[in-house]
Amino acid sequence: MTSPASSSEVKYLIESSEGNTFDVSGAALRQSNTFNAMFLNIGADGPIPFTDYNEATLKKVFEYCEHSVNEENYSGPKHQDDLSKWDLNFFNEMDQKMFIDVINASNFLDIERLTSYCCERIARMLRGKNTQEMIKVITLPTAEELEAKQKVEEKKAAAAKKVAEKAAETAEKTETLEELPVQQLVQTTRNKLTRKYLSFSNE
Amino acid sequence: MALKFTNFPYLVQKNILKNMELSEIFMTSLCSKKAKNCVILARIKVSKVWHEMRGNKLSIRIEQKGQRSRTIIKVSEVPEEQMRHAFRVRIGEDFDGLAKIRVRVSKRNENKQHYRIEVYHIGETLKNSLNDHFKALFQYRESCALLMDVSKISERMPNFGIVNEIFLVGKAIVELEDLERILSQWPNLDTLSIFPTIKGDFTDTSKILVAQNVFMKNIGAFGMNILKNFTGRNINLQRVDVVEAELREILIKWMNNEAYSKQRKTFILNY
Repeated sequence: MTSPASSSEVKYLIESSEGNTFDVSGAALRQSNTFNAMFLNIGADGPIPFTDYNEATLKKVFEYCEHSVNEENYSGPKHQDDLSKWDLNFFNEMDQKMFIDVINASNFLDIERLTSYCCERIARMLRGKNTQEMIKVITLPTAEELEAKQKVEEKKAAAAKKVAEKAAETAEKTETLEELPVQQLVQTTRNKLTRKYLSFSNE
Repeated sequence: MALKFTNFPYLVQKNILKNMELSEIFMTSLCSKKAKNCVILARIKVSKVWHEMRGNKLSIRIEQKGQRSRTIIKVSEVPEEQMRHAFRVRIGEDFDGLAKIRVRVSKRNENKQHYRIEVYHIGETLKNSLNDHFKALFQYRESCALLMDVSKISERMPNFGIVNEIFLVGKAIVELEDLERILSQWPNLDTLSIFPTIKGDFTDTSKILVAQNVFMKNIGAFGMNILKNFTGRNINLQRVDVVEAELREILIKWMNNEAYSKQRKTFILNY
């Protein structure tokens, strides 16, 4: 942690999943309840590891935090129609993968405002859609797909069970052979041989 | 990259659902078993539920505190020809059939919308499944209201749980026997409103007298009997065949505190 004199200018080093580090202002970072709970009072000696998320995602999240530093205190979800031009650009710039990563990161960092906006955005994607359309948007497996998946799993389980049973049977046979007394073992082998011989003679 | 709803953490799922309308939440729950579980886990509460059964329609309305009730789901029967683009829908544990789902947006308010599920036939399975599914989603255990057409009175009712308000509408005549049978299912009745004419033999042990607030529009000859035996709080009877002597007797008893101690308001119209 770099620690200049004024508390508003405090900068923290953040470490991403790639191992890269970058600066984030204390004011922006304080919007994260996770950070507040973990580091605010005790401070951090080195870079703060948020290694579950990549650099681009973290930078995007903290870009939002930096921007909303001067906004009034958060009071419940804001309607998407009330979003400023900057906010709209911020969301529209992201592709879907980045959007999902940002939601997950902001949920982990517990940044209420950003998580709420993202969730409302998803809710709006589903507005006015029926079940089939919803399934397409949020790619839920349909009942049929689930059924098919279950059948495949059942088949796999049955096959595995069969293999296990066969293995157990073979193990049992070997065990019984090993357990037999020597004389009996000789007798069994002899019987087998005779049977073979007989079968040969029949041919 | 897919936007997989069920892959989001629990708090995100809950947050998304809280940003949705109740009708949309209901629709999401019909997408898959996993989605249904997500809705249940989000613990979304609703205040008062209204079940409406009129003609070949079935609907569920929600009345939030201090607001007018809003329709969430409407199920209606449509002829087979109109089911061309129907798809398979599973509701609750038992119903698995073809349905068409459409969104209806209010003309007055764009934010108000409800879903219309169109099926070929509204059977008992669908009624029960819809009711069970709804109760499971919102973990609804409070008392609900029932608005039904008089023609539905002889049908078997789904298990609505506690019903404390009943509104009976329609133009057909109600047989008192059927009415008594249906009222015996819900002993904690608070409000009973009956618009159609009633036919049958009234007794002092009638279940109508259980309700605390009674409104009857075409009561006719029953009126005086009900008024005499009423032990609830408010009563509003219209088109009563008033017998003056009996009415005077009732009023004297009430004024002298000899009977009707709980009664607060009595309204009688003889036309």
